[in-house]
Amino acid sequence: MNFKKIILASVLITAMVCPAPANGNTIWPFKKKQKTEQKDTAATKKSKYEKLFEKEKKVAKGFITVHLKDGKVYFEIADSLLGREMVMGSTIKSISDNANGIVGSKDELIHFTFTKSDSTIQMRQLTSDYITDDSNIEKALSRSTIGAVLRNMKIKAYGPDSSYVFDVTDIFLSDDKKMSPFLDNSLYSSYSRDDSFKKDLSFIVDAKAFEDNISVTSSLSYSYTLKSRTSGKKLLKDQPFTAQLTRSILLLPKKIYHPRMADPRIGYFFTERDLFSSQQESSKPVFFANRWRLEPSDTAAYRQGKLVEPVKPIVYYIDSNFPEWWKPYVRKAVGEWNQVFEEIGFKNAIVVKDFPTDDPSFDPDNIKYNCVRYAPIGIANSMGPSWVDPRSGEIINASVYIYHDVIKLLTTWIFVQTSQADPDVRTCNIPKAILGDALEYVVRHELGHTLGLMHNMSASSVIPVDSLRSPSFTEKYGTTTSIMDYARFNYVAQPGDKERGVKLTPPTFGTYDKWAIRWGYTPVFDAGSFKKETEITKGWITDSLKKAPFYRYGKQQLYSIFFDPRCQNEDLGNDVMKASEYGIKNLKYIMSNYMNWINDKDDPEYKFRTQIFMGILNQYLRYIQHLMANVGGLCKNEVIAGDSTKRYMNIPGAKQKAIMEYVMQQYKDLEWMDDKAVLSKLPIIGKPSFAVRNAMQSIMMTAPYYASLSDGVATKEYSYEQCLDDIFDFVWTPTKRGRRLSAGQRELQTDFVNNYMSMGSFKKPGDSDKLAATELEALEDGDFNEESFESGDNALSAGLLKYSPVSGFEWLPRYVMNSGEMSKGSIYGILRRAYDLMKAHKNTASAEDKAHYELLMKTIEYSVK
Amino acid sequence: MKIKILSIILALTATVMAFSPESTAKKPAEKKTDDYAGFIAKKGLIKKEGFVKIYKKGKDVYLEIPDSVIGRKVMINSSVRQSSSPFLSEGTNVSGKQSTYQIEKTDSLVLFLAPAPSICVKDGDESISRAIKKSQAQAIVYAFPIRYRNTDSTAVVIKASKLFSPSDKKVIDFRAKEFNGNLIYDSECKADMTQLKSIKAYSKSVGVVQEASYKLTVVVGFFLSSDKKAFSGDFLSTMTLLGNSDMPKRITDDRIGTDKISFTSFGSSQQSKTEYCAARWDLRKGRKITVYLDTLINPAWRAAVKEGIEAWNPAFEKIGLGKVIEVRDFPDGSGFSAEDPMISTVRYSPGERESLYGNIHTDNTTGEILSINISLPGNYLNGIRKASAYTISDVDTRYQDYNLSTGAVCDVIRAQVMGLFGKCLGIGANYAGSMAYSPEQLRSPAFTKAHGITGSVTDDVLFNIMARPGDKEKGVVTITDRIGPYDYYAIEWLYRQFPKGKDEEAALDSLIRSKKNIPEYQYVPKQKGNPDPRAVAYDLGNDPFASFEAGLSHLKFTAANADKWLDHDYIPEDYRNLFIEWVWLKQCNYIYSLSSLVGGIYENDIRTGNGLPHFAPVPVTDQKKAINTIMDAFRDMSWMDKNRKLLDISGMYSSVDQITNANAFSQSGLISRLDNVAMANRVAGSSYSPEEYLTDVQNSIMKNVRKGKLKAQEDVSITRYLFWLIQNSPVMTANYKEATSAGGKSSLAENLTPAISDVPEVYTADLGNLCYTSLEKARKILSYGRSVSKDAYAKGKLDYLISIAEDGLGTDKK
Repeated sequence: MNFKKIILASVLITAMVCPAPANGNTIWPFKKKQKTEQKDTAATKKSKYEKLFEKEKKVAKGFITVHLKDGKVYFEIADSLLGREMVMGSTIKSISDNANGIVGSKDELIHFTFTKSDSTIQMRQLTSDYITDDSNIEKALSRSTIGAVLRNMKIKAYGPDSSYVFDVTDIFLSDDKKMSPFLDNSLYSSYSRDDSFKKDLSFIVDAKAFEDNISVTSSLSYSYTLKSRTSGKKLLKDQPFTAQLTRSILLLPKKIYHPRMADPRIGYFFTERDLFSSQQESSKPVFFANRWRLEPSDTAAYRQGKLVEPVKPIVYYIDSNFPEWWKPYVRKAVGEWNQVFEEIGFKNAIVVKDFPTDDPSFDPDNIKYNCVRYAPIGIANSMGPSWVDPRSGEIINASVYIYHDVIKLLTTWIFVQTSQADPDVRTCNIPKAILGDALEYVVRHELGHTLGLMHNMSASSVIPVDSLRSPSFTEKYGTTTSIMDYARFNYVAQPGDKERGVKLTPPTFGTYDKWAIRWGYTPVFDAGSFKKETEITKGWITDSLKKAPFYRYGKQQLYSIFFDPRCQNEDLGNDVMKASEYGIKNLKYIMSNYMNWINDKDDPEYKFRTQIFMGILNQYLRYIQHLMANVGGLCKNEVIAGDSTKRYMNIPGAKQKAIMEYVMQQYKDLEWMDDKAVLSKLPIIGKPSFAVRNAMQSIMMTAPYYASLSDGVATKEYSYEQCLDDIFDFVWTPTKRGRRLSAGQRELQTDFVNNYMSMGSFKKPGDSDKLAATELEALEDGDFNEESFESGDNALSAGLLKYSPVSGFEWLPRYVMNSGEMSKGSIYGILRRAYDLMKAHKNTASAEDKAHYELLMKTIEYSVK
Repeated sequence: MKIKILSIILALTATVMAFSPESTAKKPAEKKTDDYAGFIAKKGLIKKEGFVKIYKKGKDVYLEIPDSVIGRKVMINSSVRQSSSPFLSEGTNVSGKQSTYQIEKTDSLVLFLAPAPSICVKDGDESISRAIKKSQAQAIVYAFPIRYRNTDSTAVVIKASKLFSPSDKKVIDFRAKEFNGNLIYDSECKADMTQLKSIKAYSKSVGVVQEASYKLTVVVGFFLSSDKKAFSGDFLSTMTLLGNSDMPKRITDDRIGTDKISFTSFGSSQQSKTEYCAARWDLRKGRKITVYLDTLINPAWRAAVKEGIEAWNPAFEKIGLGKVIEVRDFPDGSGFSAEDPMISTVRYSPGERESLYGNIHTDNTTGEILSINISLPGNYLNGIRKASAYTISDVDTRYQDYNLSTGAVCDVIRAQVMGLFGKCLGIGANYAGSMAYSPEQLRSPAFTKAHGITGSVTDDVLFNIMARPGDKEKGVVTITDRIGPYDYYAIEWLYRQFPKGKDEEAALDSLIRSKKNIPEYQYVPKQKGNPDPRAVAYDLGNDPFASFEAGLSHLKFTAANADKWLDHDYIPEDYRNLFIEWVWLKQCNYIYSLSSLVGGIYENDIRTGNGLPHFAPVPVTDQKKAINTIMDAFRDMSWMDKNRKLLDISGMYSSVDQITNANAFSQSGLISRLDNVAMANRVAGSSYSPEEYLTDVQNSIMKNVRKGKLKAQEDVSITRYLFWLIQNSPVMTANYKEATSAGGKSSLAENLTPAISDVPEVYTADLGNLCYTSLEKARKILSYGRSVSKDAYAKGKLDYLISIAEDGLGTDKK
């Protein structure tokens, strides 16, 4: 130890022993005199800084020094910090009702810097929208992006090193909507929520400071009112509400992480920036793939193909509050991602830790730490959001949230999708080993998001349906090529298949998942330039797509028009008819047996069995949706110059027609849902087939509209006229033939008239005057997406359409010039056809059918003149 | 399976106090926190001492809160002491809904936190408990800066006026209270007209008496009155220390009726669920329920109240708890105050209300009932008259007189207090109670003496309406005189204590199973849409037709004889005027009860293995019989017109029969049963189809039309029937509106009866086609009736009815 260090150490020790000489409570024997002398000296020499912090409650020293005094917060910053880029995030530490936001959840990050002007410090919000490769343009840009002033704070004092001290209480103790505890992805966000901040009930709780981050925790109180968005009815009124929020500030590095250009042929979340290049006439959007800074610690060894550790691993902390038996599964699932990184030469890329109890600097609510959190709330969901350095797309923080009722989701899926083949799950208490395995799948999926991966919704569609019944295939590949798909459990498997060795679960990782990580995280050495590096990474994808469909990426379908039927939620296999037939057969099997599988003791009130009953109906409707998405569907492939893949492919007409016929047959065969033996035990449900028919009718009636948009984009296959004719024949043939109608047929005809009148904006009796101008437009906003896990992915913030080989980084291709052939006139025509048919047959129909026809004719007459 | 339940009482998170924050609220400028002595010595300071010290200084209230109270729960209650309206009279509870808080303290603040949500973690996973503690932390409702600390720093003083502010709806809330016969929708306190009058201290409470004035917005009919009503009163607002209840929760079972408190449960392998625990008294370790009786109530009435309450003691004795209920008169002196919210009372409340009412204070975390209050209102005698005169006066002649004898009054008080006190013990109303016995049993002196008249006093049963004149003399019990077998059973389920180690859940389940298929133990709660015909009021016995007939016979006797009872000048005019209308409404009640047979479904519990189907439809013959009985009853209301003297006493009535004709269909209850018939047909396998139902109703309604005859005002009833058919189809409604707007009938179109469909059915079918067919048939019958009618006026009326039908059908009249 050198002399300087010894001096420093002794000064520190002294400071600790005599912490508060200003209070006069020292241990010196000559106390009185000393005190007087000190007081006198202090009185004459006290600086403004010393006076300000004379009786401060706490001081926390880090890259910013944080002072707490009299309920206020002061920042003390060095001059060198002015202009440095920082991000601030707000995390819920505790909350009085987690339906407004779960513990650990965060809002968007605020990207800002501090600047100084005379005697005030400004907090400026920065924009990272623009980049340039030209120094002159950069100068111009810097003058156009000075940052909007969020706060202007007077310098209260100057610190010992001429640092600036200013009051920041208002940042942490005000109603700042950018850092609100009322989060958009919370349970109550589906309602209209009005909140009122209660400043007199709010206060600062604590502050911490470290070398590269600081955090301040506030207790903020509000009252809020919750209203139904549809009826406007007040559900909760003036509810008291308190949340503790930890706001942490991270100092961003001066030098940004080397970005990788995103490619629409592979599913990575991305950060969009606008490039002003001296080489370009106009600005051009560029997209950086969001990914962690993962660099080999020993480049030479890495290049020799040895396994090396990264300079900085990605560390995930597992919530200590997970239910005990969940914890090993959660830990295991996170750690398993190392397998994928090892394939590209990284050892221990992922580090899994429990919340440490021996590290005082650890704080799960600080945005510096990546945490997998448990949320005790009745939401059947999970999420894996991440936050990035807005300059480069470098992921700087990620969280996984597992909501308690994900257990409900898993239990229903496992039961409804696999109980035909797996006797072990024919219970309301699914064995923990099976449930835990499913939980691992959920955690791995969410963790995939935190590594930058988007959903690959086409992954399951490349697997041959028959292979899903093959023990060797399922053992090797599971049910899908990517766990980032919404492909759940093997509903194709038949009774006896499990015993043969068929796997019923998704794989640990699919071939695509491994490929995607390889693409995103394999370093490119010696490229020489960013442009050349981009050529290389593009080339990887081009090459891989030639090799195998198992690497295909298909983006999530957020709209029902131009729907790519390969990219569906909750589906399996490459043959939708075959897979759905298996699935429906299984549902019938489960329906006729499940009442006997469940022990009355375990489910005395039949609540579980009611849940499963509804699960069966929903699963059935999913199969119908999987099928019908093909009618008017359109396969879309992302291509770049030089790719041989076709951009658009219509679904073969014969397939569409066959599916239409199959669904119509299904429509007639729903009586199995009205199983008396089952319904007689459940609470009053009515006639389930009515409800399912209603849902099917809506799906079928809209099919011609989608066909009218998609048909002919690549080839002419199944026109809307053919589709409409098929539906018309199905609905009206009994009338044409003068047959007596069943209740279901009458309902179908009523629905035909009602649906097409709505689609054509023909007003019906009972419609309000405010009928939507055109239901055709309204349809475009709908989608088939069902219950899913996770939402709120940050890729939803992608910008406007600018660069679009197919749809590029957008969700939907351009279709400005395609409004479809189906017009109001087409609808008028088929309504008239129906009308004439009824008119011709009503007088010879039974009394009941006659009444039905007359009412429908009057419905049409109401506005179709 | 024995479920270990770990109840989490969410304490204030430690982090609130991790750092000692200063309040951002303005600090008291006038005094520093060490000037306690100066505060105590303030001139004019008034002090009372309870579990905290309370001070009054001018218009301000201060509380001195000792450390021992920090972390404890308190409840704020408000009641009226005196007022400007007898509708909100002394003792009326006007507490806000949010009334329980937990007191916590930081360095500079005293916090009042919202109550912890009630959450249970099954299988005892402490990790989940910790997560919940952070996720369901308590909200801060009030934060009071600490003004002074006492000399040894064991207590702090806060200015707490806000805690009792009469303008805060958390403190005083009139909403949904009755005011001059209307309901209060909202209130606005006149802040400049409030005044702190005094402070109070009781054993576990402190409080303030304040005078305050309000403007009340009331609901008149379906509308808010623009005329705001002025109201002033003195209010006592108390803060009461709640005990640290450790009473174990008893999870409710929907096979037995209990009052309940909801909570959320989490299990590590199961989804979160809303569950319920029973509200009940803590009777462990020999604890008693003591009820104090207001000495303002006359001694005879008091005795009846006492008997009514103590009638429950045998049920507790049966399960070995002894006489747990004690009823005492208000003691003199000794610090007793009936205003203490933790004391259970029965008080006289000099308001204009006519029936018993009360409230129950329950600890929402455990379900422990802390205290109850029952009020005997000023106009209670009127209520007793109305309940008895039309119902039983042929059997028990004491109820014919306006001036009821003490014995007659006390019999009703005893019975009604008994019923209400059952609810005070945590028992939910059991509407099957009245169906326990057969008509024969209910007319047997020996049987009724041995068993009473109802399975449960929590059902709406007062008199034995099955009794006929002369039965009382033979010894038949004619009024509820004891708690029923179901009540014994419910008390056993709620209060039986089990030794440690005994599987309580299994024992309670076994108790329920032991009562299967025994009529007097059946339980049916009140239901939305009345799918189960057992869940109705105003009936008695297991034969609803006999019950209906008996009820009607009492009414007929009353209508034939009441003029003699009413012909006295000392009887108030309004009582005499309204008498006949009460008779008529009572008849409507009986009819409404009977209508629940139409489309009725008996929902049986299948868990107890009683061998009954889950859903059983009411037999078709009974459904049809109910329709005919109801319509026949309406068709023959001439008995109400026979006693001209009674009609004269009641006002200028030409004929009650006419009113009945006009309202026959809309008052029949049948108007809401179409959905029920469809549901019974589909769900419970009833062979009575909606088509057949519509035909039967129509045949009954059109009985006279077919003959070309219409009774006076009968066309009005048929009009309503046609409207009902029309409004079941949007097409017909649109047709009707279009036709009538052109033809000047729009005012009637607005009278279309709103759709009534509360049936809890998930999937409903479109019944519009059926109603369309029925309307067509109705048109044909009306046309036929017109063709055979020889009465010019009847023809005119029928023409009008035909035009309504055609408007609905959209018939082209050209």
